Amino acid sequence: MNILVVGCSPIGSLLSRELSEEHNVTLIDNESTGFKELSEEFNGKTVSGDILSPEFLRSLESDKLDLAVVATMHEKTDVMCGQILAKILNVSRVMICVMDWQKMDLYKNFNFEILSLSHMAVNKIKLDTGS
Amino acid sequence: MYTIIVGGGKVGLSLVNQLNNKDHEITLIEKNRLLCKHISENTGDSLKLLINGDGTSPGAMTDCEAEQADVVVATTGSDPENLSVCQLAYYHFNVPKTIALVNNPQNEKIFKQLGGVVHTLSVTKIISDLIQEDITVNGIIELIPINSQVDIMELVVNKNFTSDGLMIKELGLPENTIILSIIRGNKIIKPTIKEPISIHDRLVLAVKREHKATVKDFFLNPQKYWEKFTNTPSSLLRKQD
Repeated sequence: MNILVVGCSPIGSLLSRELSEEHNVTLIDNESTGFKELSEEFNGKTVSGDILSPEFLRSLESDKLDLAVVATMHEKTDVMCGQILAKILNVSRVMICVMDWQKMDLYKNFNFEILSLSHMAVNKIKLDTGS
Repeated sequence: MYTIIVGGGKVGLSLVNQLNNKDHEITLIEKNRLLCKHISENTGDSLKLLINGDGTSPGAMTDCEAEQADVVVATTGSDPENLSVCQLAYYHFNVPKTIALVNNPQNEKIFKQLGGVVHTLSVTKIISDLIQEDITVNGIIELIPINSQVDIMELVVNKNFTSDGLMIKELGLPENTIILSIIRGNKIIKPTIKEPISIHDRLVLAVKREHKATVKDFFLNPQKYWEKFTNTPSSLLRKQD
């Protein structure tokens, strides 16, 4: 699969490393943030640029993407980037990672999937405690 | 009129001061606690409500009864934040008019494509447009952009306009251009189609942005355009001779 990961955050970098073993992964981030957190085992491509620029995203062959995961962990930036990918560039599958579970409802009508990190953690703990 | 302004920076605060009159109820939402304190000490009673909170969260919007608002203006320094404010207000509180300050001019188009933002205001663009325009040269003054398509401009009819006394309907104005008013000395004249235009008249025009260059050129070199008309009144052709 062709996968785009937006944001070299702790999640973005870990995800890129794991996925790049089997998939064709491009990891992007803003020039200023860089790729400091990225492990040497990452086996894909890194590109820095303006992640909110449709032209920049298009230059990465966004039309050939199977999946885009947005995880800069700046919620509003993620939501805007997710909308640009899904609505302007028509990427077939877009996921964004969100911390604030109270905002889940707000974003449900956009054309992307929402991964609520809070819910995931809570569900895991609930499962482990048998509640 | 109930207006909610998100962001208590320079733009937000200037707006509060500008709109401060009996016809406007204003609520300001600002995240920064210290800034809120400063604002509450300095804005007197011009605000209906000052909320120290996040304008992108439903909580703050519910607190200030956003569903009653006529306008929500997002004026923070972050474009993604301004987009979130407008989309929240528009889609979840049914606010009819949302205005986003656009810090990066490229986002003007993106906001339109993504939806939820009714109007954008790009300070960078307004300023760069002003610099690029020959503001007072040639007697043409850019007044205000109405939206991304339409501008209001003012110009003085100069002596290149050799056909003094032509009626508006005879002018052959470029398409999508309307004379809103004629200012002659201190008089404001309603522009009926039979009103003659004289040299030194000031015309206030509404112009589609794409035709702006043509309109300017028209008033600077009108003959060039008149020659093209097949239906030019004969009186006009004689006057030019």
